[in-house]
Order: sequence, then C-alpha cells, then structure tokens
Amino acid sequence: MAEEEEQASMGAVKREIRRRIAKHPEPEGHGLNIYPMMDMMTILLVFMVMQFASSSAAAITQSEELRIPYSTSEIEMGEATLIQISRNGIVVDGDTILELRNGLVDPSQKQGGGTGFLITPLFREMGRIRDLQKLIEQRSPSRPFKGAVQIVADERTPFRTLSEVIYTLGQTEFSNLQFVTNKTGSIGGPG
Amino acid sequence: MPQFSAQQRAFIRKHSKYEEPGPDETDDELNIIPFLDIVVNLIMFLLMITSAIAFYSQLEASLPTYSSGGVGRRASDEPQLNLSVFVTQNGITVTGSGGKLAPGCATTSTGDVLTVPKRGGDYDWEGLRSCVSTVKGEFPDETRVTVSADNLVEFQDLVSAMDAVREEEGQELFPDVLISAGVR
Repeated sequence: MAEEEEQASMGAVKREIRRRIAKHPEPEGHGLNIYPMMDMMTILLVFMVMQFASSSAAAITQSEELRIPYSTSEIEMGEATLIQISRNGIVVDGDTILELRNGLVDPSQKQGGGTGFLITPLFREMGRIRDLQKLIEQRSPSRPFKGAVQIVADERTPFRTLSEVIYTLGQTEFSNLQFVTNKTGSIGGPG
Repeated sequence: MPQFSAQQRAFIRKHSKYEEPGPDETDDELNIIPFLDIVVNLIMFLLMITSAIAFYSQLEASLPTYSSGGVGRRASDEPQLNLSVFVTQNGITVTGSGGKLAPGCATTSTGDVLTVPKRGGDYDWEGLRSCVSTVKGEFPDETRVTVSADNLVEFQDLVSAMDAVREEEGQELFPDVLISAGVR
C-alpha cells in the first residue's frame, strides 16, 4: 500500500518522457528548407535568360575588329534589323553579307565600281528583309514597317564606307538609322 | 525527483526510445546543392551581362528626304536655316542658308574656311557645340541639322559631331540629325 502511494503521477511520467526525448539530437535534414529559395532562383534564371535572349545587345560582341564608338546619348537601345560593320566585314542579322578590307568595300561589290555607292550584296539582302517586313505588316498591321536599322560600326570605319552602307539602306527604304554606341559622359569617349 | 515504479520506468523507456535514423530515412532526397550552385553562378553571369547591356545606348539619325512640298510646319515665307555640319580632316565647316560660318560663328565667310579648325591635332567638339549654340539662339525653332564628312573621317568623329550638335548641358540644340551620304 505504501509503495503505491509513493508512485509518481502520470503527469510526472509524461514530463520524464519529454525530457528524455529532448535530449536526443535533431535528425539531420530538418534544417533550413531551401526549396522556396530554389524556386525563386529558377524563376529568376528563366526571366533573365528570356530577357537576355530577347535583347539585340546580346548579339553585339566587341573585339579588335569591332570597337564601338562612344557617345553622350542616353537613349536606350531599341529593336531593329542589326547591321554590324567591322574592320573585315558587314553582317546583317548574324549573316555575313560581304567582306571588307581595312573597313573598305571592294569596288567589285559595288554598282559602278570604285566610284559607286550601292553595295550590291547588301542591297539584295536588305531588299529581301524589307519585303519580308512588309509582308509581316500586311498580315499583322500591329507590326508596321518602320524602315529602322541598328548600325553597330567599328569606330575606325571610314565615312566613305558608312555613306555607302547608308546610301544602300536608303535605296531599300531603310531611312531610320540607330547607331549603337557606348555610353560616356564626355564627347569622344573616356580617353 | 519522483520515484517511478518498475512499470512506469518500462513505460518511460518504451516511449522515449531514440532510434538513429537509417540511411534510407536521411538520404532519401535528391542532393540539390550542386544544382543550386550552378543556378547561382548562372544568375551572377547573366546579371553581369545585363549590366554590360546597360552600357550601350543609341544615337538616332535619318536620311534626308527630297520632297517638293518642304518638310515640317514652317510657313514658306519664314527663312530656312538648312544648317549643315561637315567634318573634314582639318576641322569642321558649319554652313547655313547664308553661307559658310566664319570662326566664331557670328558672321559668314566665303572661300575655303574652317568654322572650327582642329586644335593641337584634335577636333574641337566644344567649339562646335558653342558655335551651333550661337546659331540656335538665332533660330530657336529649328531642330534639324545635316551632318556629313570627308571620305576618310572615322565613324567616332562623326558620332562626336552628332553629339556636339544634339544638345548642350541637357538643352536641346539640333536633335534631328540627318546623315548626308554621298553628297558633298
């Protein structure tokens, strides 16, 4: 009888069980849950890849053959047909149209030879792009033909070559020129 | 400390028994840490490229249009400025309807004159800007300028000339730049 009276209560038993359980270490794997962070990062990654892919600036790679000039303009780059004029070639939307020698067009590539202004391969290519863009305009009036081109030219390109390209663009109804430049605070660039 | 009976001690042992989690319980999830590393590196790479994109800007220009009716809202009896900037290898010539501007841009001149000659072998872009600013003062409504250059003038110099005539300290001078290609 006396032994039964001294027996601990059920509450004390439960307290003891809790105390002993609390002594055990937490099993690994119950730490910080990184899944929400991973979800967020994956969404961020997809967003940035899409933004990068849709930007025409992604197609611009500066090199010794293509050094972009400096300008004080603050206008953000838009979207248009991209023409690159490097020291050794003219590239339209990623396709090399003709090769240049030290930034000059070979006379055989021009209508009228050395004194000519119309660059035949460029005229053909831009005519094709114009026809395509006008076809798109007919099918989808929300995408009108604006005659806009982005010109990424090497800073050493002689004006003669540039004027030949611009003249050819004018002949194919591309008269809205957007020169891509590096941003700078002072005229002529940083140095 | 309460005294537990043998029965209670057995009950406590049974319910507070700690079992080490087996390997199948702890390692049952895919280890995503390497994947997370790749994602973080990719994000940093793309962020750097995105900031590089922000370094680019664009300079807008158009080709001169030839039309019989004239361009713009100007009444036909108002004087046309027809401002033109020509970059040569020795300096810059600024012309208007009245003729070539003499150095200082206050008067016109005839003959082979450079409005803004080179200084120390370099183009004087600030001089050009100051010159067109003077012209702007007399023709505040005019916004167009035609820019052209010698055959061997480099593209950077053409861009600098366009910068000089477009604006001065945030104030627009002649923002509508026309590139005259093949016309001298």
